[in-house]
Amino acid sequence: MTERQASAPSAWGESFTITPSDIEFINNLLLEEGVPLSSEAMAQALVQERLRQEARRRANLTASQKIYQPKNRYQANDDLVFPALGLARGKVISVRPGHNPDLGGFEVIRVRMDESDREFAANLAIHKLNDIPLETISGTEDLNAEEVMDRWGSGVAETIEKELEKQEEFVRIAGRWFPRSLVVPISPGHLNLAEAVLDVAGGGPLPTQALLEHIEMPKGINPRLASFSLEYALQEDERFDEVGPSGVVMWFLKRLEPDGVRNPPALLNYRPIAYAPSQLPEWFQELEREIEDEWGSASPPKQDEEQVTLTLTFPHWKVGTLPLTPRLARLFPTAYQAPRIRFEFADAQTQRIFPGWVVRPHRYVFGLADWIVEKGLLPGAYVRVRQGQQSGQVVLEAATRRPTREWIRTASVDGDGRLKFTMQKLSVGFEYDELMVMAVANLADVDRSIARYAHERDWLPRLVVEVFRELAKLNPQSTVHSRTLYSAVNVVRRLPPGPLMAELASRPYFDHVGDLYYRFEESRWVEAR
Amino acid sequence: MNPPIRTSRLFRPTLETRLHIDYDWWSRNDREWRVYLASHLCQEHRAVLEVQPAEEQIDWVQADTGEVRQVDSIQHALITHCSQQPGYISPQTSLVDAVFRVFLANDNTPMTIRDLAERTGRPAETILRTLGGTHVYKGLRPVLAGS
Repeated sequence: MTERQASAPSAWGESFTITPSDIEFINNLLLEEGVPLSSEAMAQALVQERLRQEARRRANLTASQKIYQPKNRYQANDDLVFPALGLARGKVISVRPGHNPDLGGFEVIRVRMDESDREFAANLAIHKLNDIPLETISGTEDLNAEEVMDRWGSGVAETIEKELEKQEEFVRIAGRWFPRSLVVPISPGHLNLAEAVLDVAGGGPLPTQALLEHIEMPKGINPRLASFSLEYALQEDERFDEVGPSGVVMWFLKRLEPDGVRNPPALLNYRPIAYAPSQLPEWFQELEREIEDEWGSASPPKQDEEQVTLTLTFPHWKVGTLPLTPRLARLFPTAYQAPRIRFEFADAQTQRIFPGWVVRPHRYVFGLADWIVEKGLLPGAYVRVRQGQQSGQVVLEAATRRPTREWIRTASVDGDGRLKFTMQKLSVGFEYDELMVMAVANLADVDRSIARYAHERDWLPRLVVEVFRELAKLNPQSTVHSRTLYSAVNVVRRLPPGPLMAELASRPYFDHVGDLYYRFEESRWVEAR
Repeated sequence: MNPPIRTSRLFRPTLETRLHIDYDWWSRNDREWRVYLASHLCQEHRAVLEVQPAEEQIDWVQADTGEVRQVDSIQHALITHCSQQPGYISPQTSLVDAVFRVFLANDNTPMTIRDLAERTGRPAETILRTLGGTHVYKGLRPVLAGS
């Protein structure tokens, strides 16, 4: 118990901490309940317990004394505490008969409080202080459990969660906790059976209950505890993956998960590059906001945003993924712990349902490869994403339109594995970002180029210069927009805008000519070499 | 009647200042206290007072704390009966009397000037000017820290 009063706001804000006695209380709570509890449920119980403790503490102040209530009789030298007067204390110095025709017989006690004497009724059968529980008659401004939970409940739950994560004696599954020692043992045979059930279901996803139906658990076990115990055993077994969104436990066989879910595609792999954000030009933030790279600086999502339109970049286009940016993450199912979450995509035009996966640690959403091909999209195409009518479903919409033939920037690869760009007339049936749109002449050639740059030391400046110079050939002013450069560089190496802009800002041979356009100064480059 | 006493010059009441009846102020004006109190009695208790002097002391028990205060029969009648009657505070009641009657009815629980305005139907600014000034009327005074 902290020294702060639990009934005071200061006990629950940022200063709220978990003590060893709180941990003991939580342990006892779980033992008594006999079933796993969520952090929120434990927070509620802990708040109530702390308020009860304080009430007991207040009462204990008077354990050697007496709590004043009008119905009781007192005698001289009794030490009293008056909860209705802010726990003021006093000593009875005399008792006399009370006189009030309306009240009948009662007594009046004279009490010395500090330096003054005051009189109180005693042996009075009817008075409202007689009917109020002792815990609640001290102070009308005190907080109750409901108020505490309304105002600070999520913070209390979060603090409990952080503390329990440090405690080895607790285990957590999908946001619920239980003492490790009380988890029912699950045999290898049970787990093999679970694997077989998932195998038959194509890997999953299946809820725990569906697995339990095939597993005979010892009799007399609380069904919730049986479910939790199986979930814990499955979680600890590498064959199984928990893929449910927050609050829902669903299981999948890892070996049957798509390769792009188990192993992050190499094209999406970004190895952080050190750069000094402070040296970046002031318009950099504008560029970051426009590009919205999953490895860039996150801009806070708007709370009321129901649909997000994003531009498909080459790496995501090639492997059939979407970047898990903060704005997009709001629209996809999330989870307490599960790194991979299985959900359903729905095509806005055809209503076709197909599986998708949120891969949280690597910041992408997998499962769009066939859809991208079906829609005939290219890198640079706009894709609209919104939540579906059904819980956990995400609607995808390609911004398609009647096809027309248009000049499109097209990447190819020369004999040395270097990227080249030309303008080619292609049939395009979708809306796109003119600065980022890009076709690829031959994907196998691009793989060759990717391999070349992957093995180069000091690849960043060389890649940026090579790609920039190629892009500059596509227009008479020889200027290149930052977004176009970002889009093209990402064909062969995953690179968020930060390091790319740092390269443009720090090299003397790149000149900013305005509106995020740059020009390459050949002479300065020669000098720099 | 004795001249009203002055409050502290340093204290400046606002609409949020709480007032109450200062019984110490009245203790120095015993006769007038009873006369003034009697003026607030309802017709029924005025009739009783004419035949039965108000010398009897009654132990009046506060509802919130159980504290006992000795009051005479006039006060007792006012608190338990007269102040509960309809028309106890009316537009014809003077401002000072109206505020005084509010405190008689609520067991002298301090109230802000803003709340008193709502309860009596008088403008808060008028109550502030009247009872927040340097003169004390009928023992109605701001509750000062420590009082």
